[in-house]
Amino acid sequence: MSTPTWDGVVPMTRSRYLYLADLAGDNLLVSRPIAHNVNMPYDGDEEKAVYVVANRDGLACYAGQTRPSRSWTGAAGIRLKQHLAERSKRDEWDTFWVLPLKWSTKPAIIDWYERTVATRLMLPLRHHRGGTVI
Amino acid sequence: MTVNSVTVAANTADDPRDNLEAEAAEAPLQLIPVATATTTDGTPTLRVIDPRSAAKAAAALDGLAGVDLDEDTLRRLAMSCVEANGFHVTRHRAGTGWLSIIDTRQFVTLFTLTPSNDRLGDQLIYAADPSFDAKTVKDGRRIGHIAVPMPESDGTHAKLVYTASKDTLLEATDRNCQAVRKDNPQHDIGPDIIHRSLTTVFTNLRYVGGLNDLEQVSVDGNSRLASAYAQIKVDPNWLPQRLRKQYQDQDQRPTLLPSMLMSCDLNERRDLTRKIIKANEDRLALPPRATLKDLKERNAAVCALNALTAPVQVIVGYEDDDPGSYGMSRFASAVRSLLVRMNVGVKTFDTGAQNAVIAEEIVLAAQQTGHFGYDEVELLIGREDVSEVMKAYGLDPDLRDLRAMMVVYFCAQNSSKLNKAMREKFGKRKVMLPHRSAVASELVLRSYGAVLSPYELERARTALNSGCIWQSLVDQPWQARKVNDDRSVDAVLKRALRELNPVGEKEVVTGEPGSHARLLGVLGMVALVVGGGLTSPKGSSEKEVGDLIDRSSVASIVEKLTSFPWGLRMLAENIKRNRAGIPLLGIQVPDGTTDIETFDDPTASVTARDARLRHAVRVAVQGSAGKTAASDEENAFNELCSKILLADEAFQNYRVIRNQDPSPALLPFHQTDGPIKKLEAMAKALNRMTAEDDEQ
Repeated sequence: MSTPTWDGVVPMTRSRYLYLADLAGDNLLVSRPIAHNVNMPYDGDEEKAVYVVANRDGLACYAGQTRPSRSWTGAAGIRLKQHLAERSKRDEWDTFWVLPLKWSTKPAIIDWYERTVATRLMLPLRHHRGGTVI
Repeated sequence: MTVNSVTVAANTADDPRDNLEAEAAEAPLQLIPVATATTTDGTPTLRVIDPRSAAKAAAALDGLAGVDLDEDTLRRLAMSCVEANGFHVTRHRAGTGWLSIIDTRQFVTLFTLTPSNDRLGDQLIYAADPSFDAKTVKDGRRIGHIAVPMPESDGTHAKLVYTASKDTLLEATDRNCQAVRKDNPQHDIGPDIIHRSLTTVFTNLRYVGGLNDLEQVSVDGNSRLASAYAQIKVDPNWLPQRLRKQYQDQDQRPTLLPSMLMSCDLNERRDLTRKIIKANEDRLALPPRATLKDLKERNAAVCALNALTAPVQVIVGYEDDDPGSYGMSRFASAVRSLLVRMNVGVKTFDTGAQNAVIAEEIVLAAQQTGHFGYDEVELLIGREDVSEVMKAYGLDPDLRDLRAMMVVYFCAQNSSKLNKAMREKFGKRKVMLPHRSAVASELVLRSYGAVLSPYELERARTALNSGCIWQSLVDQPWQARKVNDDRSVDAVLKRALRELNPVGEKEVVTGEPGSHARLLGVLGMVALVVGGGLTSPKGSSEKEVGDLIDRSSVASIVEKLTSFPWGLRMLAENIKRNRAGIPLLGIQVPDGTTDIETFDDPTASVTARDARLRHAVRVAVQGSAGKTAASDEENAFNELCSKILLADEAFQNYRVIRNQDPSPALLPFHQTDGPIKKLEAMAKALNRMTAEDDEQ
């Protein structure tokens, strides 16, 4: 067996989600403290979001943001699909948690929030050089 | 009937239920015999005890020392047993005396869960809320998630008394059952029997309207009991005629629910029990066939029978340490202390609900030592209508902030009796402001369960829990007053301003906040927190104002507000606005200035209002920082995390290089002890700064 590419330190749990959601303050669209399976259809209604992916061990292994220039509902799900084109992600990613943000959230705040979420989850820096925009 | 029950059982077995149960159905389950009774061919069976043996057993029980129950109750106890013999009494220490307990095995259908919904204490609607009636009565019935009044002692026997409407008690019990079934399912019950004893107590359910029911309820083991009920499916035809209708409309056979049982009398429940036994034993008596469907049905029958009985500890007596003065009056609190000790640790008891229970315990303990009187306790606990008590204090019962004022006033009292109660219940050596705040915030929020949305309630809880009592409320004198209308708010404001004694056009403060400032602060704090003008600060709050903000507790913010004339005026205005239900007046510092001005913008979000207010407080207290960033603290923590990650990367690099050596030697002690000590010191210090994980 090869060593996993997507490793993590802390488990994603409901209470950790709530802690992260709290950091977003009023920018949070709605609190959705549930894990979505990456392979199941996703029906979120957010247009901007920061999301956290958990690997098969339940550990947070990736955090990303999505703020499309046009408004798409379920933006996090769309971004996730794009990620899953990569084989290692398909193999090891298991669930994702969405922190939906209001459409009015400023890009600077989303950047700050993504960075904060990633560092608080002790996620490696290399995945977070430069913004991720679809 | 057998044929009928088999077809219905087949339907349930085909249910696409969760995987756990589907897996369980793969292997044949074993029926575990729990009684000595057998059928004619020697198969173990269950029998509901006959009334004559029960009467004999009841008489035997009555003769035991330590048993303190009336004849009817003892007969009911015996009628609920699987085998009524071999009773003996053991004594258990609880609170202020000794509880007598007997061990036996009973049918789970013949007792039920507790109606006390303390575990859900932070989501309940309390009668202390002035809109309680408006929110909870529909078509003449009480509905909704209502806080059941605390059980009282029966006074003469070792029994509890619940007084509430029948609908409330039935609904509360059902909700408890569903909540623990969901939060704390016991998957081994059914495939196996219940191993650990449930603790139960006899209870008079005194329904509003004059009817009385004797019931045996579980004090501990509600999760096990709910999981046992989940294994037992009931054919509506087994129920008395009057109850069939409401369960017949469902397409599946309903599982056992407390309300189903509590609507039947004891004989009807014994009948139901017989029918459950018969249907399931008949199913098992059919010759086995090698189909999956047959296996699933057999397993369902085994699960139902395994779950049908439980080992039970029944509380049958109580002996107070001071029987002369108290008799049986402290029985309820003894049982309660047993319950709290057993259940607070369960993970589903959220901090809010836990504080709610502890708060009540403290109030009751302080009552027992004579610190609080009856009226004060009723006002603080708020499980019953408090309007009479409020009126007795001369307070308008419709104004929620006045009850909050009283709660804060009582919780801030620096009295040795109250402090002792707090120390004991929190298990701390010293009472600190956070303890007082935790108690006060839960009790204050009981006035708001029906008016605030769950989200708003949670926001208010977080804000108040951050601290809602400041030091001078405890050390300095102040009084709760009858602030029943806008005129009295203005009068308090006038006096509070006089205490500050501002001089000149710039209002240079020459005095100090006094008792009126403190009173205005308490009322204003409630208005700001409930009205959405002040909350716990968010990570993005600094972005909102482009400057640093004051991130201290709401109590500390309000305390600072009371030291400025503009702060007092803003508090007074918002007390009035919150009472009138109109959007609050905000405070802000315009960009590039240090001037404090009010703003009246109903569309401003809660976070924005909070950030601007905190910013204004910071500017007023410390002057402007003129930096644009999230808070120094949040950003410094981010910085720390990324440096740790960098260190980790460096460590991984080092490891790769080290592992290129086919057999690396151990490193010299003096090479690694420095880094190890540094890392350990950091971990230790971080741990000290960290709250406990409440999920564990």
